[in-house]
Amino acid sequence: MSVSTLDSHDAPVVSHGHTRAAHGESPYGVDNENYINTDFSIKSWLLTVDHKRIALLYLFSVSMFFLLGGLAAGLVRLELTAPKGQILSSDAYNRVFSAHGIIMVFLFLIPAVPAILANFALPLMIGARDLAFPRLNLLSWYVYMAGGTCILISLFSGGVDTGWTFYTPYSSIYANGNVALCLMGVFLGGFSSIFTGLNFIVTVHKMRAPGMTWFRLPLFVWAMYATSVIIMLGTPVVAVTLLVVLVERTLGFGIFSPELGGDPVLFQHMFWFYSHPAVYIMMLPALGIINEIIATNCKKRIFGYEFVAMSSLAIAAFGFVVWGHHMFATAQSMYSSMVFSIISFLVAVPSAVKVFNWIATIFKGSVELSSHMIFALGFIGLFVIGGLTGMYLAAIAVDVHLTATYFVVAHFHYVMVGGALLGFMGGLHYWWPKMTGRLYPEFPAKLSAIIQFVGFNMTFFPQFIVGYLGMPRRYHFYAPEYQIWHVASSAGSTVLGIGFMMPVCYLLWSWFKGEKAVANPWGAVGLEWTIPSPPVTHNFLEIPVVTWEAYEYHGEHPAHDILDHAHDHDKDPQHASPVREETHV
Amino acid sequence: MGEMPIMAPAASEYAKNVDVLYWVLTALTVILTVLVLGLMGFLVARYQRGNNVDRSNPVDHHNGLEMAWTLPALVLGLGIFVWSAKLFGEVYQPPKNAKEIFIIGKQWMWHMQHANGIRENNELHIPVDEPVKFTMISQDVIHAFFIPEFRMQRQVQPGEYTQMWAKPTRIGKYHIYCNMYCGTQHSEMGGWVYVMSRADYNKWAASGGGRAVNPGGIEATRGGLSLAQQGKALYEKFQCAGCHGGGGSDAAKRGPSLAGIFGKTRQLASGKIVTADDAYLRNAILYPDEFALAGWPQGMPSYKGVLAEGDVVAINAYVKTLGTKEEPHGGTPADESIPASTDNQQFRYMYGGEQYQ
Amino acid sequence: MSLHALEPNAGAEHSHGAGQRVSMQYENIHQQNESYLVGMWSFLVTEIMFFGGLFLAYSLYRVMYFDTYLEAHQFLLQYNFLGLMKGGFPWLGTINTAVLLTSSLFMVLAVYNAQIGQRIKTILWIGTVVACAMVFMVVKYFEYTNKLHEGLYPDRNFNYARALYILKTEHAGHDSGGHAENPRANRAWTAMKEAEKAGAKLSEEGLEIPATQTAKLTAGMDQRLTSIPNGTIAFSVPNVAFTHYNAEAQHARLFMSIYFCMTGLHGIHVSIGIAMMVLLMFFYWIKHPCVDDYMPLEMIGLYWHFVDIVWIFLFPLMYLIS
Repeated sequence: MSVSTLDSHDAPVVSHGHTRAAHGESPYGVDNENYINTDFSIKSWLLTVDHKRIALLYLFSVSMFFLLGGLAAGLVRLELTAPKGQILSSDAYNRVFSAHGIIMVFLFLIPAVPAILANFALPLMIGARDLAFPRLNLLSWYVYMAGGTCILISLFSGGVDTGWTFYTPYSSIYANGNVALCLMGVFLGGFSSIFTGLNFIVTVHKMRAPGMTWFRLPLFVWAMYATSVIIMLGTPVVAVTLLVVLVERTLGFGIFSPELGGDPVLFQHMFWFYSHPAVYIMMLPALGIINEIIATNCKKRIFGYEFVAMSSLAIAAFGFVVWGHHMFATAQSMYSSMVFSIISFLVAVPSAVKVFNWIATIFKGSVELSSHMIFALGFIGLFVIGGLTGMYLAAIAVDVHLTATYFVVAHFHYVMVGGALLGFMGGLHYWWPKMTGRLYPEFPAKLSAIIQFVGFNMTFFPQFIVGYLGMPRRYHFYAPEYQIWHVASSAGSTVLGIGFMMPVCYLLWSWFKGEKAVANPWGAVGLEWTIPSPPVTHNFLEIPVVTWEAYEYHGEHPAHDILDHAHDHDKDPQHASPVREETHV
Repeated sequence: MGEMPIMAPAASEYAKNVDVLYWVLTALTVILTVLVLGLMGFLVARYQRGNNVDRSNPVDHHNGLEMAWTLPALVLGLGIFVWSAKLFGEVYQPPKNAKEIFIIGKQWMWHMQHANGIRENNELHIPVDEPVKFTMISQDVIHAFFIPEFRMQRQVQPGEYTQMWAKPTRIGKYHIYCNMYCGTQHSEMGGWVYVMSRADYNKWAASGGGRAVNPGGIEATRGGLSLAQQGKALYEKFQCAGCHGGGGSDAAKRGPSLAGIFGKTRQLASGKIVTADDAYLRNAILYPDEFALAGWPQGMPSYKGVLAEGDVVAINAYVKTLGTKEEPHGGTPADESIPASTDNQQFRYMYGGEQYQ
Repeated sequence: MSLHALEPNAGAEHSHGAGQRVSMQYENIHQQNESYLVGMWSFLVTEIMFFGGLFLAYSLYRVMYFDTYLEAHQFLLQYNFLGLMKGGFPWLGTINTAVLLTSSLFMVLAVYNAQIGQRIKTILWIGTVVACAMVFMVVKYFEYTNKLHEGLYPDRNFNYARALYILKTEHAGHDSGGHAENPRANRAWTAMKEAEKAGAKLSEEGLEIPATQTAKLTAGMDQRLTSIPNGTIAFSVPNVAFTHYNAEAQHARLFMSIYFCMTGLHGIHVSIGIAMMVLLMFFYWIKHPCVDDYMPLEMIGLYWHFVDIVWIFLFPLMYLIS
């Protein structure tokens, strides 16, 4: 790698065929060409291999699926306001909650952060011009869309009433509806995320900029690395499991069907072997985002960087050995249940490490309560509650009562909606100026963060109570004494719904009408903030050489130049130039 | 209960123990949440940008501090684990004297068989303060038998017995739910468990599952014979005695005698040593090849597809009486056929506006 | 469509290596090649987990129902291959193993020739690999059709008793009794044989017994068959006598299910391999720029070795149970 050109940032940098750079005042070109306005044709979007454009494709399609899943959730909540709901038949109700689960888990939560935010930010953060396999990245989007289409067709042609867990023998023999096509869709979706994970692993291993050692990586990258490992190891297992169910359904085999000699509990083992780690596929990226937001908004290095980085890997590792805690009430032997229980408690440790380190980071920081910071703080609040209620479920004796009740529903919504979704929202707000080159209005953003937090608690806190009362999940009709809590929950869900619709409005508005964003609107350190917003097609004109630690807000390092001049960038675009050589250690 | 119930009554010994753990966990959750979020809120407020506070010498790592929150988290977690594991150790391990009830789940009803021959659908009558053991199996998909007031449930699987037990301590009428999604009418697959005083229970049993005790529900159907007597009838119908001998301990001709085998260990032809429990008896009847006894010629046909799960349960009950002094006894007159209620009437029956007592 | 047409700036000039192209996201050819390798190995790890799920199911059931596995795997040894081969040795499996192992060697030669720039030789060696793969698939085809004919398709109509009967009567070498290690199969066979002696004929449903013979037959037969009411002893009637075989059939069906799933999945992998190799041969033939470099072939080579290794595990697990 040549470093000779790095010492003079104002000399035009000629590299990689980007000839425009030589003509303008700024190395990035006079006409503000960036990855979005470089070509407006449909073909240029559908055949793009630019990770940033693919991230936007994902953003659009994942959001569509999120709206669909949210609509299903709304129907469920509406139906549950009365003990004997009248809007839907039981068959229809079962199809609606299954649609909600399948869409949200496989088409929203799993791809949301990796395929949108990490796809966009990860190469920028490690100083790469793109992911290692850009075409594979595009393929993953097409596979995702194919899977999504299969699932949609199956939902609208006969529907699927198995729930997102596809337990056999119900799903393989008894369920009517278009289960086979849906399984195919989930299978394809799994491959889409395998491609994404594969890309991230290779990119993190091989594409880091010179000087960007493992322990200089931003913690979001660590989290994504851990996530990708889970995806690579877990997804194929569920893929083959669902493939077998598909074969059972279409060809009549019976590997999981007791009627034909198979063992349905084996399905549960194989399903949860993936699906428990899948929870961490949803959570870890969000946990990673929170690091970025907190460091930026506290202007301080994350406390205990190594501990936080390693806790991501620890969570990924533990995640693979706790699947049995979903099966305490099955015929699983008592002793294996106990082993799974104790390991589940161990997962609490790395999670606690993260929370405490974030709080320690705030200490002596310079806290800016921006909208993404409010999302992050809300995230921590929900994550703490979600995590602590996880203890109830890890405690086997209590789990024998609580498993498969609304307590579980509330718990995983706290973790996966409160956690993953608020984390995603925070990250979206954090990187929005980088993605679109526009600033969104702060006030509605802060308001929506607060509304989401409040609405979320209103929706799901009552479900803890009704769960301990004994209300089973997936119930269409329920005992009248639970009604009060369901009404409270449904009321909260309207607030939550409003909270989710707000960003759709102001973010879309800002994309077209918002104030132009400077390269580093939040005054962050991190390579993605050293290039213009939005970036040019290949991100970096010259690959930067990293000589400083991650989150180095204190001390002398070149990003401070950018930090100091963050506000007059628009006047003097040269400050947005790539990082210069730095000799201090 | 009041308008906004937060706890279902704890109606069994186990439920009371679980509730203690539950409240301790809740207290911990509240304390930790308040502590952590309070600290976070305080720090955020104090170190707001623009506040003139001391920000000198910021620290970004401190191993002692990391240990200070890792170790307590670990110890706390392990402490709760030990407590809950100890409790859990009981729930699927029934005591010897527990009264046996067989439960068969199918889409979408529960079918209960008492040892005294009374059969009930979606209802269960049990005496208070006496341990009961549930032996459960499903005829189709996976269900889960859940009594929230007992704070316990277990999956009911096709092809395999699962067990749990409870000692009810509180007279009353409690929910039975199916808690594993099983199809269209999953939410209607439930009913009531009636915990009664011994005297009431005797009265109920004497009347063959009387309506007087239970005016609200679907009538419990009454078996004419005790479960063991039904088993005896089946035993004779299928000529089991031809190989295994009759009620006494007389040596059988072609198969091992079944007298007094229940609870004993048996060595299988495969070399495995098993205890002759319900699961073993069921397997030996349905899959005789795999569970052939060592030392005997294997000639027994499989009764898979011939005997329904309910029949197997009855034969098991009879086999248990073999070799003991007691003859199969009990029994109250009634009809055998059990109508499956699948219409909407069941909803009214389940959720007919009844509150906890 | 050209693989590189998608990359607007892929034409960036890097002067490393002879004719090897470096995509714009890489600094140099070493980084690119290493990325390819790391990527391919990661993908293979994913593939291992993919097959791992099925291996897990296989092992679990093998431990639980070892006897049935032992018995049912005989079906993989018994076949009538164009009237040429019969008998109790897994000829077809062995042939396929040999073919696949050899093809791996040819693949190594192809990669070697690609590395030293021998285009024609490369094409020829890939062609040999493809030929081997085709042989594998053809043999697989005969194996599958044979199983289907014997009623071993593992769905609801799985006909274990009939298959056992055919196993004992039609395939040479076992007419006189059967395996000492396999008592249940012997019983099935004995029962059928007795019926056949009495004049029964083999049909799809079972043994058809002439009405006149029924009384005589049931008198002379195994006691377990006496409850057959009419003139046909079906192979899997829900009846006390024959549920015997149904219970067995449950587990045998599991074995066959797993056999079809695993070898089927493996077969799909072989087919994908064939498609990719044919495509690559075509690229070499037209001197497409994407094969200026040997890396694409190296990748497919890795994939092919993986497919080979999976078979190395499948063969003993399926065909050589003892």
